[in-house]
Amino acid sequence: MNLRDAGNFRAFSLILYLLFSLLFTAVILISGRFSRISFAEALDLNERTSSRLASLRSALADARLAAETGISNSSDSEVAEAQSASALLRSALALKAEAERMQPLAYGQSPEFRQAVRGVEEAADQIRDAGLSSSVFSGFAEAERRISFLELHQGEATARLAGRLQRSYWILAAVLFLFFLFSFLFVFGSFVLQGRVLKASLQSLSGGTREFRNGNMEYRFRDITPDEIGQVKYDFNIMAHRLSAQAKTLQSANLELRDQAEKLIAAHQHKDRFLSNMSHELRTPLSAIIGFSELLSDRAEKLTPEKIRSHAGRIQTAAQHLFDLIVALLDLAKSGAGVLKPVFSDFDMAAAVREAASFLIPQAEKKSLAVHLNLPDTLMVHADQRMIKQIFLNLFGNAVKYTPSGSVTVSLAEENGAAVLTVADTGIGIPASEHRNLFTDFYRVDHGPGFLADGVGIGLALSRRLAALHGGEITFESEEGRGSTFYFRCPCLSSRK
Amino acid sequence: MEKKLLTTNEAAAYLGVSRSSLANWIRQGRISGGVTPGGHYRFTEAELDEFARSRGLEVRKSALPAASGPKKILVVDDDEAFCEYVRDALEAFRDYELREAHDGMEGAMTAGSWKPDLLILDIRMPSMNGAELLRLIRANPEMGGIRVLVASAHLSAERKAELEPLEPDLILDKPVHLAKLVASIQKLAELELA
Repeated sequence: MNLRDAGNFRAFSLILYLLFSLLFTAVILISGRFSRISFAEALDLNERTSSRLASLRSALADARLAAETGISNSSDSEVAEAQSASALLRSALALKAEAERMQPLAYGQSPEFRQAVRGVEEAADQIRDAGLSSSVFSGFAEAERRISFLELHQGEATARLAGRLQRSYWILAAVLFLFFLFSFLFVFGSFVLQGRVLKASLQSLSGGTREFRNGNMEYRFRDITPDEIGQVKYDFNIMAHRLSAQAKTLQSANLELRDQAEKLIAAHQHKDRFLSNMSHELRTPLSAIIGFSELLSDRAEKLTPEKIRSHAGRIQTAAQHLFDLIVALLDLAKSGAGVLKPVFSDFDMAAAVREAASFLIPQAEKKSLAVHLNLPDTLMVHADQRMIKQIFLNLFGNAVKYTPSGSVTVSLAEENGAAVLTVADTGIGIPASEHRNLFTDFYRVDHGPGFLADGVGIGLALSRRLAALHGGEITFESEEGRGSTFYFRCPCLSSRK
Repeated sequence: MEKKLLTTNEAAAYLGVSRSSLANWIRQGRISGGVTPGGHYRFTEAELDEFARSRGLEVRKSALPAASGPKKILVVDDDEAFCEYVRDALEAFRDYELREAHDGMEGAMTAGSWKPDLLILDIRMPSMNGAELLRLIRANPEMGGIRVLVASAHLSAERKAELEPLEPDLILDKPVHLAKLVASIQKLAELELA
């Protein structure tokens, strides 16, 4: 049951009300026939009936007189007999006419009453037909009987009329009463019904609205009734849908903003770390170069040749370090700009690796690391020798740098038509969270405060690009605390053996 | 007796109180020291003795910087070249003793046991950085008299701001010129040229 149904019920009540009004009018119209007969009219009718009955009786008396006179004079003369018969006929016709005049008064009376009136007419006909015969008397007797009946029942007929009149008033009263009763019941019922339905609809509406207000953005009205409240609920659903869609858009925009902000912050931190690392990497060798060269020039006279050689050595090492750093930086910049071109030549990669390893082995020995070189006698490749050496030095240098104790194993082999260089260490490894950024330019893995290694984050980034220039790739496996293994796969085997 | 001036740290160590207590007394005007052109407080031993008597404090003669004997200098730096550079630079002086430590932890242990007069400190080092080491030293009243020279290639504005409250006596950016290094060490360790 909804508001619309309640409204319909009210309309229905109204129609019923109208029907009852029509019925009421009809009843009044029908009962109008009786209502025209007032009590006064009834009395008048009674009077008229009495006078009619008196006329009827006098007409009968006339007819009887005519008949008796005629029969007694029948022997006199034929003229007299004819006059008598004619008189009887006239009086019989008068009697019938009187009886016919009685007809309207008989209308609405009992059937016996009406039959009696008709009986008088028939008796008049019988009298007319009998003429001056003896059978005329049975007609008189019949008429006499009928008129007596009418006289006897005249009062009863009037009373019946009055009673019928009274009954029509009762019916009228009853119809009126029922009409008002039903009108009241329907109007009262429709008000109660509409009130209840309205209350229930408003409660459901306010309940849903509160639900939505309390944060359930997904709340929608299910019971959409085909009425005004249903329309409000429907509109509410559309509004709620738009609101939640907007909220979602806002939320995703916020997430995106936060994402961007985090990226910006990360980029900013990356830049700060890079500048700080770069500053350290430049200042440390420069510190040695400036310091030792000043020692040399200020104290030239007092220094022994060994001291001079030692200072010069310090300066050379620092200068070489700076030079390597600058070359790596330039290579990185060039590869970024796409202007770094490998110079291909055929050379023995095993020999190149062996030679490059000899630079770093002293550093490894200083840390008491075991270095294993599993190299073939020769492995001819067609590649840029400087770049291949650079890649190896970066991988091997990292292995030495990040291995406090244990061993570093370098292997070189031919696999599936490519040269594969493997550098495995037993060092500190790379935390899984850092794997993603390992090859990012200037990115330094954060090993926590306990471990600090110099560098600006160029080696791996550059190595990967140098490898790519050869169509090769660098991959790795690493577990924090268990060491790392880097693979350089270079599909650059020489066609010349 | 030579009239010697004590720094705030030395004075606090001499009185056996924390540096912040002494700073409070200075702010409240209970003790007045001389002020250097650089804005640092300096106190005479006699002045401190007088204050100690009035407050019922016991002075610790042992906490005073050694008036005699070789000056003890500790270099804490993971860069071996810089250690050698300092070592050679110090040849300009006489009457000193030099030790080296190559990471923060080693530096802290050496400083704690050897109690040097001058600490030449790097910031970026393995195991413990220079700032943490300096914080440990400043928190230890036993080492109130130690002078600290920070020399680092890693001095961002934030880093300097972090060091400021730890009151290093001098901060130098690497590279450090020989003349500057020699003059700074001479001033802080009160060394005499050879």
